[in-house]
Amino acid sequence: MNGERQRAGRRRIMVCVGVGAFLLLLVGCLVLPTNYYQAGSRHNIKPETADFLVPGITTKEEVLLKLGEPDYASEDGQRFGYAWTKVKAIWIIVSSAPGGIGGGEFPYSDVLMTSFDCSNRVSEVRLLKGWGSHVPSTQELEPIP
Amino acid sequence: MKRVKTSLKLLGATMLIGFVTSCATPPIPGASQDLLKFLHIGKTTREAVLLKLGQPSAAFEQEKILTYRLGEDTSQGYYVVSPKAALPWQNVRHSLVLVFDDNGVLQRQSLVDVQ
Repeated sequence: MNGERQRAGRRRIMVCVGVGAFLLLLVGCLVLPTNYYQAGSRHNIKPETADFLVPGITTKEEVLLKLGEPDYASEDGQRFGYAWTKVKAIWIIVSSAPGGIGGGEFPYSDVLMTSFDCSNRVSEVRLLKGWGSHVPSTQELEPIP
Repeated sequence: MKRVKTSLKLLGATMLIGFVTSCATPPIPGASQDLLKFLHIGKTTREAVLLKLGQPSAAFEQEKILTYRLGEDTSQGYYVVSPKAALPWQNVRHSLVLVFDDNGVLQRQSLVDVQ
């Protein structure tokens, strides 16, 4: 009697493992490397843009005239952040289940941060990077709008 | 046979109208090829800019510098885009930067391509 129960239990486990393995075979996951700007991101700032920002020389006015409106600004207007986001990869999951298709993007954000001194000239330039649509360190600045 | 021909003609005309109307760009409110032609260095005042373009998307140095986000349509021209928090640069082609002197007269301007 016990032997039969054990055999039935093993059979159930084997069935579960088989079903699991079958479902795994039916599900496909694909990750494609990409490099395009995310929707809603600006395109005119690159890491090389930092070369234009010369501490002690470049003025706030020149920065705005050359790069346009920043994405972030401190309340006193003495720090700007120019942000852009690129999609570095997209993922797609396909399964045989009803509606079993999904996907998304892996965004990577950069923010070119610049500070100005009391004469409104660039005093410091930093480039922040991070996965996601927003770089967490920009929380000290107010987004525009 | 005549009936079939008439029906085919009608169908063709309907398809053509549908195709033309679906391709036409709807009019963009405020869009104009001449939107920025009123800007003249040394002449245009801040008040004139605010009256023409409305509220700027940002202002710096006690409103000495104003910025506007502009879209551009090949047939309808420039138009002011209201900033959106979620997708801040969507539909924006240019950032217009206007620098005024202490008397509020335009001194420098720049139309920066952001896309």
